[in-house]
Amino acid sequence: MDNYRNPQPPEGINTSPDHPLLTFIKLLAGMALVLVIAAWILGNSAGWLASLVPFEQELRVSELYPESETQTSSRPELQAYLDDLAGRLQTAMELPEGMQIKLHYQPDDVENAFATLGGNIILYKGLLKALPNENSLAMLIAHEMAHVKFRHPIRAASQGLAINAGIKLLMGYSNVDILGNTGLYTQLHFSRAMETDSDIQGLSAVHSVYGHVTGATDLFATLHKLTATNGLAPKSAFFSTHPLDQDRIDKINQIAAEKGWTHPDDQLTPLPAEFMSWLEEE
Amino acid sequence: MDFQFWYILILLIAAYFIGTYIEKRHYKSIISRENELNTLPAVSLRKPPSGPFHQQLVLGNVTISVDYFKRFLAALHAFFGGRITSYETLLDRARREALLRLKESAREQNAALIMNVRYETASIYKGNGGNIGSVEVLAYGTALIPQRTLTQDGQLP
Repeated sequence: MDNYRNPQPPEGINTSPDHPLLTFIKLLAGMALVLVIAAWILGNSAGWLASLVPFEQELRVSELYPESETQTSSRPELQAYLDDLAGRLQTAMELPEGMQIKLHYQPDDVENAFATLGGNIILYKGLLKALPNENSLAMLIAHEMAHVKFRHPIRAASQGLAINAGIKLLMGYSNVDILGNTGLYTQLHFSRAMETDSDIQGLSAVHSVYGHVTGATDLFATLHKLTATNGLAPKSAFFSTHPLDQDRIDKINQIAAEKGWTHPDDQLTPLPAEFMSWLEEE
Repeated sequence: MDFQFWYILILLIAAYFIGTYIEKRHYKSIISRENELNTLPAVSLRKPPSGPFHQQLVLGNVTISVDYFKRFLAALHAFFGGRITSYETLLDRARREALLRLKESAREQNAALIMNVRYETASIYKGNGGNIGSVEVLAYGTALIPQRTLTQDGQLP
């Protein structure tokens, strides 16, 4: 019986010495990286595809939301004024055939404005109240209009939709809504490059309308200063979605200087005298 | 979704600590029992040594499950490929525990040697979405019990 023996085998031959937590972190990080890359590819390809969708189709999608129909008929003077200003800018911006801009005034104290699907631009009372002159209002509308011209809303919405749908499908949900619960009033997220393109295009349209860019170049700086000195909100909603820093202001000034667009101090166009009362009207 | 995330995270943390504790305790027990039972050899040879032996089938069977953390880790491994390190300890523990139970059974019968030792492995939860979390290992062999340890009338004591 002495021929048979069972010596104790050394440990760790059939198992790996790797710490399970370390392995876990490595694999999870790898998985996160894969997901981020997949989301990036998905978002960018969806954005690119979306920019090929005709504007009429975008309009049909936006008309599914009831808000696209509501014009502020309770404020005919304000709507007429804004539409007239937008009309002049629209001509200057040379929007493609069939591209219609619809301005919506929202009497909420939110310091915000944004462009969304179907050429709809939402302007909030809070922001309009803070504007010092017509030039800055024109710059604001022109900026948002440029987003529509460059098809930014549908690109951003499609990017969001594709990533969202990808995540939801991965998690096993099947209900996918384009703009979420708040419908057309959903703020879309535009990239920094999209904002810069819209700044330049907007500035160019303002220059075509007024012959100078006074007030327009100062729009962001003025507003930024305004919210800072107010001390109420260190950053308004507008700036959280329209990232503002010195780079952006420098870029705008640089473009204006390159094009030779002037800043005569005495040519500001004031807002209509009744503007404030139009905003407050119930 | 938020709720789901925290639920999974808490389960993972709890499973990791409890699972690690149970595994360490099991390994400690395995090693000490192996040292003790190594005096009873178990070999895979089929030719018995000469001598008057009583032969007896002996079995050692164990079913072990991995914890939630390791199953989660295995799912990640399944995505990237490579060795599923989190299952290696599961199978190692199961095989050694099964052999120990086999030896314990043989020692109770005063066996001097176990021959022709074989393992059978089966996964429990088969067909449950490919989520194999538990494993059964059966070790079996032929125990050789020296005749002199039998009682007067030829029966096992």
